[in-house]
Amino acid sequence: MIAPDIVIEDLEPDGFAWLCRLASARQRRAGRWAWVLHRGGDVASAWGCDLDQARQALERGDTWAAAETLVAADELDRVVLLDLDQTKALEIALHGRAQAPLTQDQLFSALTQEFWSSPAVVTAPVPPRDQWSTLAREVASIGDGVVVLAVYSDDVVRASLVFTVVAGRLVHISSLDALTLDLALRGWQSHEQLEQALRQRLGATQVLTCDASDLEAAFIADDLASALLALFGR
Amino acid sequence: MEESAGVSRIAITSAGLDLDGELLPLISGAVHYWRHDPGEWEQILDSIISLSFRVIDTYVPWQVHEVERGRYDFTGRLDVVRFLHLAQDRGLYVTVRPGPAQGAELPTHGYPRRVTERPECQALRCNGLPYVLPSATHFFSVPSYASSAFLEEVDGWYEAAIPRLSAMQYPAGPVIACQVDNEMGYFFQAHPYALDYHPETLAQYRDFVSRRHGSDGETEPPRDGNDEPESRRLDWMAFREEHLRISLRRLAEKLRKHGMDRVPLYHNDYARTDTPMDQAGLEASGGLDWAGLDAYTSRRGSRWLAGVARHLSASSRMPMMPEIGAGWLALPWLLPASASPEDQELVAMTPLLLGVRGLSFYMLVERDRWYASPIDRHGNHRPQFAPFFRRLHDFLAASRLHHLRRQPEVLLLQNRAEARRIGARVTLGGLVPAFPAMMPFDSRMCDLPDPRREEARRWESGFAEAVTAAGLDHGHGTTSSTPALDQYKVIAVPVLEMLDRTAFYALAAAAEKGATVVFGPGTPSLDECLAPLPAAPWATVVGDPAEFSSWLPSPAFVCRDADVEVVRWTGEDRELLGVLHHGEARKTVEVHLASERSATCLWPDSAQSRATSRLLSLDLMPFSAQVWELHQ
Repeated sequence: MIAPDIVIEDLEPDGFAWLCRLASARQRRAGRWAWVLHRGGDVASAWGCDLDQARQALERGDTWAAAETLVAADELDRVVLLDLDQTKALEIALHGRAQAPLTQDQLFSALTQEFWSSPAVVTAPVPPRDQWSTLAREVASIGDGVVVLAVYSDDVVRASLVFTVVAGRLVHISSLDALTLDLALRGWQSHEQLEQALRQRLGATQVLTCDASDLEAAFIADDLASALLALFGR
Repeated sequence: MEESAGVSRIAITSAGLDLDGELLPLISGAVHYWRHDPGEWEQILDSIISLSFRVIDTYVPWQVHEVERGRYDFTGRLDVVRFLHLAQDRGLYVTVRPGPAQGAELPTHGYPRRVTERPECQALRCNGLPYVLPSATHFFSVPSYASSAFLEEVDGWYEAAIPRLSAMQYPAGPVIACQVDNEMGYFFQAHPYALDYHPETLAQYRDFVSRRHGSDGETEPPRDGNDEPESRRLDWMAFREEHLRISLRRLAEKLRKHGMDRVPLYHNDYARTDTPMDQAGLEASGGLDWAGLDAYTSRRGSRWLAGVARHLSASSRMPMMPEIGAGWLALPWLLPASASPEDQELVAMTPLLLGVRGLSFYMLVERDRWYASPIDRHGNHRPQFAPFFRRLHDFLAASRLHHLRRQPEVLLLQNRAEARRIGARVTLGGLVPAFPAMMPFDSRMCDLPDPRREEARRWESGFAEAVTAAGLDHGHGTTSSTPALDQYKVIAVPVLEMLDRTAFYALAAAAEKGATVVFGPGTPSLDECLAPLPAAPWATVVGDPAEFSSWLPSPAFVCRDADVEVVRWTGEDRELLGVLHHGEARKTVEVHLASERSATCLWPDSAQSRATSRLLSLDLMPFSAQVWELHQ
């Protein structure tokens, strides 16, 4: 999805900073996760949960049940059990996935899938869905062209991004400022004229408009990939 | 004066570079010539000058200039010599950064992809597999700096690029310094067993062990924090520091060989003050003229930035941040961060007021994959960002800060021997990802259970809190390359059991000259190789870090506010008082002076003044800085 030679330029600083604040707030919102390292059920260390509790949970030999027990005991968002006797195979598998011609997001997606599907890893609840590959499919489905995102707040464009997609890959990102459009078009009342102006300037253009508070809520509710998916309305 | 090869007319001072007798503070900003239309270079440079900058900085990227193996392009957009001439025509000086690493938000960090794909060039994990790092937009296998195949490739690049740049060295040209590589420190990876296990790195390691212990001894490196005996782990940790010194020295030698021999060479690493980084150690190794630290943060990170600045100013002969954030990278899926004009003041003033003499704003001119710089990519000022930089230069000129000195009387030394011991107690070096976004893996679970980790942390922060609570400015250094100790009245070192041998004797000498040396909670009994140390009757041992306050001298200015730091600058029969406010609430604080003084504000509002008094009442805006000149 992300072309290695992607060009990102002429971003309007205030609007882009606002978008980045949303994204970083979502990244900082860490769930309550616990990690347990063990060797075939023999607990070596625990982070995010009590060591003795982890030992007790794993005593019965059923790692899946142990993960669920630990989640329930401390009302955790997730428990990950990592079997140190099986990490060697995971290391080799991860390395096998980290090869060209993947793009960066494809790499992250492949490594994450490999991690969750490894016999070394047991987790509860079920692993989260892979957002990167879902988003990449959506971007690919747009076809070649330009997508403009205009985020409105107080009736004016608070932030904007102009994406260019070629063969399913993002190759260029900019903002409305770079197009030097008539500033009058930035008011919500003029958003239809904005769309018209964009299509005149850029040709076939998909224009996504949303309210700043809606976008903010989408970020907080899930993550960057899902928030953007929500904007595509799919 | 006629210049000749290897004869420099540039001297390094603690405040900047001395060019034929003129002090040039390295207050600089980055501009990437190849990312701009050459037709706009002149406008961009003029725009930089209009913000009062005298120095600019640029990478010279290998990845961009190498068109194919052995063929390089230095024309058009890549005509770096023309760009340097344009800078020289305008009276600008330039620092150049020819790599081999650049980062610079390039797809393979500045290395040509063909080089990173050569197996013999690749750094290896403890499990023998290559180490993959996400770049700004892609990923690649990082090179090993011990690999002779990689170093031969670098030599080819230097052979093509350096003669062009060296012809532009001062005084014939504007180039006044050259950076060696970029943020070399194991590619941001703190885990000591993650890399590098390249066969030629291991040969270096064996040589290091042989020299350290006088015999071959145990030469197989540890690959995990459970590997015994502990001495192997300690050797590996110390070697990792030495490996950086060797690598940078080799590159510096290559730069000199290709003609970069009339300007100082320096390195920048990311802002880590713990092992394997050691700025003073790098400088002492002789390969580099100075070693700086890069720092990126918002105003909310100003306390952290203050810690980095303290460390740098006590550890380097020319304290510099070769990169300090002006804007931020435009990669919201990877490292999203907001950059606002409100961040800029405290981010710039914090290091300056804590003794950092050189700052290079990265990026002064915006470009691809970067946003919120003071100058846009066509050379226009961004009105919300640009005026600050002109004001900053006006302040530096009016205050003459670079002609004054800050001299804290208290020094906190990070105990490197203990830090190596604790840092070695980690596992999963074969698995730990280079970057958190790569997969769901919390690197904290690499820490093996070790009660010393928390205890050491508690003591180090306990000492720092006691000093801050007393309203005292202080310096920060490390015991692996102890700074000059003469200026300090009190030197504190958190000790559990270990202390570097050279630091032990340097502290003994300081105590003999009258300094108070404080250890706690334990006393040193073992050196960095686990060999016994003699007793230290010259030191004071405190059982609780809070007790440390009773050993502290009285501050010159008293301002006991947890959010506010006050520092003193003196020289030229003048006295300045710098104030850093790290809190988010506007507040009024009172600074008690030793005698009645009048005061004139130098920053941010030079129109303010105060009548003669022993009390200076200051109205501090959130996350702000003030500087006052005191008069008798």
